[in-house]
Amino acid sequence: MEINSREENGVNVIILDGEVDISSTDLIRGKFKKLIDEKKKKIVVDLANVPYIDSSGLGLFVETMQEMGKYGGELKLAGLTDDVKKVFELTRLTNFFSIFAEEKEAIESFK
Amino acid sequence: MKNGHNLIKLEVRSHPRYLRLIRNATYDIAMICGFTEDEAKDLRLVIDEACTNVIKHSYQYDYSKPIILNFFLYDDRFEMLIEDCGMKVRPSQIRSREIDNVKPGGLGVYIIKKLTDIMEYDPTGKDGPRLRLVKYTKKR
Repeated sequence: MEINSREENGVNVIILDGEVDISSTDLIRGKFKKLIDEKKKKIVVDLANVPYIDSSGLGLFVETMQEMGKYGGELKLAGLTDDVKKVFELTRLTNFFSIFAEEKEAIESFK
Repeated sequence: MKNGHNLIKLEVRSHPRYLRLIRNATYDIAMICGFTEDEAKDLRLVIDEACTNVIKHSYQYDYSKPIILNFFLYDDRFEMLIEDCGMKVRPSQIRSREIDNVKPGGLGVYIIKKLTDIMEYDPTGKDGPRLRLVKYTKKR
């Protein structure tokens, strides 16, 4: 798992590259924790290069969203591959997260 | 096991680094058995969730223990038997959360149940708990 990040127009963009399962969630959690500790309110996670996700990854996104919700922040998702989108749909988490086709759209939605 | 054919037995350590190997093997086996690509991907997710539960709950994140996977093909179904030597839990404890009550955990069992036709947990196996997962095959 490779994680890249940048800040754009006040939005923290996290770009994940690789499969998301329990072998990678601790690494991603560490990145989210840093942003939560800094009370960052706008996070976009770009999943365009994530070919696979399991419930450990879903749980991590839910946990992060709920932690951010405590101080009025929001995590949005972008670029889901078909296989990843199917897992979100299966677990009905498409109703819980704001999901965008492109990272750019997700960033602009915070305006 | 009547009319069943034990295709493959796979034993791996309970380290998360082997999950990818388990997933890929399951996907390939399912494709060989004639499942569609989408079905094979579903079974790949199912085995991942089952093995992740073994690592988390049965072995309490001890990465040095064995996970034994058996794959069977019958005339009408594909079966995966997952055995471990960890903690036994009551079958009633193996449950998913209410799907609309969004919380970080509890989705693994939900996914397994959604994507398989039978899920049976037997804590009384000779060497340890066993999880039997069945997916019926369509006429091919």
